[in-house]
Amino acid sequence: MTMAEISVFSTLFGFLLAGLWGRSLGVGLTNFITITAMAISTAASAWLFYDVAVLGHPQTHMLGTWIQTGGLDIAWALRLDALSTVMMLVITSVALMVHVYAVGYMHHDASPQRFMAYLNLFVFCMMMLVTADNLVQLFFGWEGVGLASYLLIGFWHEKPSANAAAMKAFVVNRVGDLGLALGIFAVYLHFGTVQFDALFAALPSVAGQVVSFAGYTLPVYDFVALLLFVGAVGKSAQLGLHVWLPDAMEGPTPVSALIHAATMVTAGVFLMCRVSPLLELAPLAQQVILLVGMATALFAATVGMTQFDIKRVIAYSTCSQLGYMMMAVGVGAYPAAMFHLFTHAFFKALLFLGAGSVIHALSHEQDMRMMGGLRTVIPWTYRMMLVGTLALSGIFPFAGYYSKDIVLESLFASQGSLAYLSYGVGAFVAFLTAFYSWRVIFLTFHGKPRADERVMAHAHESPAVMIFPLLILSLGAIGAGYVGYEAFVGHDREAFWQGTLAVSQTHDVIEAAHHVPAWVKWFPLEVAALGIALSWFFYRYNPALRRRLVDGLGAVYRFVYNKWYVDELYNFLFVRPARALGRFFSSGVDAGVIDAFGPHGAVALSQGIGARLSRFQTGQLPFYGAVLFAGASLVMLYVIVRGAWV
Amino acid sequence: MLSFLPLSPALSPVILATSLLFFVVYGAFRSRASYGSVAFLALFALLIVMDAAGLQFALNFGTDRLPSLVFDGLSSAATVVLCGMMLAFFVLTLGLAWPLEAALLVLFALLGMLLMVSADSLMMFYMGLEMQSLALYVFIALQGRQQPAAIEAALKYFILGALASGLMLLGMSFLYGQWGVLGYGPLQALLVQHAAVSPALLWTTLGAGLILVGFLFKLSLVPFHMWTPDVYQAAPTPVVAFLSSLPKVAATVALVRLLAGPFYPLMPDLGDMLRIIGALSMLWGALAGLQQTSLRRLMAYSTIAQMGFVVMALSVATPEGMGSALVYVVVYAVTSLGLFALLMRVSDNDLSFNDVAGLVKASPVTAYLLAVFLLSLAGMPFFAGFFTKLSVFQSVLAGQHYAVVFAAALSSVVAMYYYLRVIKVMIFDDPATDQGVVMANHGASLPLGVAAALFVSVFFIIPGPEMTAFAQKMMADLLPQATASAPVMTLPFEKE
Amino acid sequence: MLGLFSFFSFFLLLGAVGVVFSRHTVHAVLSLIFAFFNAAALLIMIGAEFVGFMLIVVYVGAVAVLFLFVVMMLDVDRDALRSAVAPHKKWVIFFAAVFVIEILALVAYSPPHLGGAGAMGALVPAQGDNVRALGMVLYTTYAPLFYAAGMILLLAMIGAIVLTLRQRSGVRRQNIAQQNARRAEDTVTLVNPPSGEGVI
Repeated sequence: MTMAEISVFSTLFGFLLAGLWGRSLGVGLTNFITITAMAISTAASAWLFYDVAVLGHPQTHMLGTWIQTGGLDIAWALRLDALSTVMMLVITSVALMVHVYAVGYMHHDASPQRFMAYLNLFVFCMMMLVTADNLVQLFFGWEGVGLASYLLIGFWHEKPSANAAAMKAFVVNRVGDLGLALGIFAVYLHFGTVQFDALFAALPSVAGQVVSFAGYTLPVYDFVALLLFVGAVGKSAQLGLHVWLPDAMEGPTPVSALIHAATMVTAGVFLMCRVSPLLELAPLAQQVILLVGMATALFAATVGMTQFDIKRVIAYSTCSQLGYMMMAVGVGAYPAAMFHLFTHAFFKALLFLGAGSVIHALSHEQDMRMMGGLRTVIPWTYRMMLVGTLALSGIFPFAGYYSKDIVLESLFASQGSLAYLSYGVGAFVAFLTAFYSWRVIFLTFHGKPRADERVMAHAHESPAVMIFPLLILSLGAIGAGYVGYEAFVGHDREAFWQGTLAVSQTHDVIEAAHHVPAWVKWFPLEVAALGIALSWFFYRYNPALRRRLVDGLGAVYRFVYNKWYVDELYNFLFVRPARALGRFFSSGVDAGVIDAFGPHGAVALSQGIGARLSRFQTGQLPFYGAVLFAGASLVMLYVIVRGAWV
Repeated sequence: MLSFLPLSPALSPVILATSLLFFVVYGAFRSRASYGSVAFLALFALLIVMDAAGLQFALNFGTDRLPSLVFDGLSSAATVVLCGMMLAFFVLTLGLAWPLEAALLVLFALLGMLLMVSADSLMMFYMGLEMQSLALYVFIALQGRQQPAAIEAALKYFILGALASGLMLLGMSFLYGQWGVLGYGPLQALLVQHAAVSPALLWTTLGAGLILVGFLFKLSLVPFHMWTPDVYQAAPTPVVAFLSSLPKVAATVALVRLLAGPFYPLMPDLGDMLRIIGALSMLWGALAGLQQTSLRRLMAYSTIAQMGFVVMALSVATPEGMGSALVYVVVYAVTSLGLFALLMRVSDNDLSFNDVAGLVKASPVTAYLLAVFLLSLAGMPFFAGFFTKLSVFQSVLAGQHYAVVFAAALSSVVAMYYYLRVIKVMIFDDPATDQGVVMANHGASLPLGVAAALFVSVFFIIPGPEMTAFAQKMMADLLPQATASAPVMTLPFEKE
Repeated sequence: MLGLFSFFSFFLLLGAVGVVFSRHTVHAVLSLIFAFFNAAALLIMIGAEFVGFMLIVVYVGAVAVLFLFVVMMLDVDRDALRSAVAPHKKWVIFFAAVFVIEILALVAYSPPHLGGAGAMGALVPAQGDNVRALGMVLYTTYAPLFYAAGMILLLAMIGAIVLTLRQRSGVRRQNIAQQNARRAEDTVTLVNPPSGEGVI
């Protein structure tokens, strides 16, 4: 039992204990077990991070064979390198805070044990995902976190909307998972292995080969990379498969913070970084990733401006930030993407937990139109939210400033035809981000209270068990950027990443990003400040003008407010036909054909035969005697026939 | 098996017969003597009998003989098992208000069974079989005063049994006519010695086939099973408990002795026949059971299906097959005894599904123990029934008889339905009446049920592996030392 | 010899058929006695005169006559019996016929080879008479079988008694000891009722 196994499996142990015996263990003991498991995992991960990433001792722990058939050899293994330990550190530290927070948040819930067990399960699966040594184990973790996400979104299963949201998340993720699965198949088909090192070693072998598919001819690299990217689109809620993420806010807020902001949704970005050597050979795929990331960032930011549900606003902001990360991946600036992932995890978790604290204070009110004036009522939450918002809007010296800037500089410094466009879009999104994140602050904490009096009378600061995690996370939101800058993207980056992230042979984007003109570095900060000012202007100084503007924009506003009608479009294009097809198969084919001839037919046949056989049992002695003689004559017949033949 | 008295295993039927005669005299002269007192005294006699038989293993006596009787490992093991079950049965029924003669009758039946399992000649086997059958006919009819249906059932059993015995005797006469011997040993020697091409062998096989008819009747296999559902339904529950356990073990052991001995050279022919009959029984028992509403009738069909498994395992004539058949039948008998003992806690009469609906509310322990037995019968993993079925399947598959295994698997699937249905009715249904299931109280049925359930539950740890290994080793010693699975007979027929 | 054998065998079969198909039960029992006699004759023909005579003494003299008494004393509703059997009669006859035809076919196809190593010759004693020969083996070689047969007879006796003996409850039986032991003091109570009220 090494640190690696402890860090990954302690939460599995916690899940089993809490999940199987949580009811009899009681709330207190379950909380203790799960949090202890989480703390052990965190400590082990921190130690591993220090050992592997800081001291530079990458290692792979073999756990055993999983599938061994023909040429396919899949092992259970824990791959510890800079990339995975960074992820482990992020996951465990945020998860530990969320666990602690959940003790307070779920205090009044009917079954907090189940909740804590699911959280532990999620962490285990996520750890399996990031420590995977091959694509299939990664897929195991990938599906595991999907399951945990489904369970946790639908945690309040008595709420129909929560069930619907959970199902939506599950189904939409299936689309992405199909892409990922096909990608894994394609990897095995073309490279003969699913193990990462072997895959990267085999990359040159298919140089120049193409795949013909549906009339298009694609290089193998692009084909495989695009399939894997489909998986990432689903998990990381990029435009097209983003529809599940806002709905996922039906889950308890700690879940939103952990899964739908800090960790699981970044799995797609992680996957892209993990296969970065492949992406470096797939310029077309990179273009697609850049475009999708761009569209996602822009789309989510615009929608975020108009929403009133506090958690939805933050969810769209998550979506938008994930777009940033994908853009960085698209130009080959993987360290920048990972850096933004790292800082984003802290300040977004902070924002979500802060929002949770607000919701907690207002008796589960989520609509910002019913808030306002909470600054004095919940001062600590206000301060923490302020820190998170400053970080999100990229204000110096908060974490977001460092990571967002390096992403934007990388975009500017990249060589593709889209370099300046993507920089422009990125800067515009930074402006929008600053606007809507401060809109949240102003609507929630400033102005007059709009909640009704009874709610306001009840409004109270959250207990210490909830504020404490906020404090810790706010430290991350303040300091993560400054502390991590040199190691992640600065001068020490090559020593830090130890080659786990590919660097283009021809054009080191990160290096180039450090040499962009000065105005490129300053511009994002300026637009962010402008965004804050505009937000203040519209929401504090002159709300009437905002209302007139909204009325004036009319159709445009409604288009954005309704999230670009993506849900409605999908409903029309996919959901309804799929449901009709499903109904046809379930009631028509399944019940009408398969059941009728399969199980029901067999049952009817057995019952029918049984009834006939039972009727044979007449109870009449002479008949029994006849049957006995019949049997004896058959035995004799058998012997005679057989004897005559043999 | 611990032994305290230095008794030869050959003494086991002698001791039993002597004590039986003593009980007859005791019952005749002591007017106060009741079923309970005789049964109680019989416990000691049984212990001594078990001791004598158990000594075989403790002192490794090897084989002991009396004229037309042989006392080897198989007969001693069977004696110990039968006497052990008999002990359990007496403990179970000690408090019943049965007439004194009931105890004598079951002891007679036991004596018959002891003769059956140690018979070394067709004649002695027939004696044992008749003694056992006759005692059982009367035993079933004994409760006729209260339940006229029991008399009807006994009469059916008697007349059909007499028919089957007649056929069996006809078969024996064929054999005697052909070979002029009755002993198993001489018969086997003659059969091995002479050729398969002999015209006499056709008559021999015919005789063997007719003798098997008698066995198949006793083991209630299709198409000789017709008596089983009627008798199971009409006789009182304790009688059915006896009927469904000990005679099956005795008949199986006697059949093993014949198939591994004199009939072994005929197994290529008889094996296929037994497989066909086994497959028929398994399917019939499973399918016909689906429609039943009476628990005991259901158990009758269950017996038919279970005995199909036994015959299927016997048909392969390998140490593995025959050993697993022996273990199978013993486990089945224990399960059946425990199951009926627990049913006695509800009623001595027949029970319909409605009568046990919601049993779990009246007596959870009864319901759950019954569920254990039913699951074992169904062949659920980690109960004994699963492991015995598994070893039967393995041994039959080793002989590459796939069709019969398919039938067995089909039977298991179908029969699962009715076993689970009983469990569902007992545990998940609401009682049919407002006052729920009314329990009768039988003192010893619960401890016995618990013991049997324990046996069934931990069988796979202890004593299952040991029992299976022992039975297969024993059969390996007993079977002719032919290396090929089918004996080859090449010698020309010689006439003196 | 063959003629004599055929003669007795024919009548033996005839008697057996008569047992089964007689409409009257008394006729059936008489046919049975007839069959027994023929069988005994066959036994005597092969030299087993002791068994033959025993058959007549035991089965004809005791068993069959007992049957006769029972049959004559019982009031058997023959029509009811026949109507119970009737619906299945054709099946019974069919399978019995199949059984017989099979045996006959087998005899025709492959005549039974009688007399293996043990041989039928054992039936005929080398010296002395039948009774002596039986006595030589009955208590030696076949002693366990003999005892077992004895146990079966005992069992049959007990079974017959227990099934037929009816101990009626509530029957008043004379118990002389009890009668003698009665004392007036225990049983007689003298009362002196006031006039007009009677004894309560």
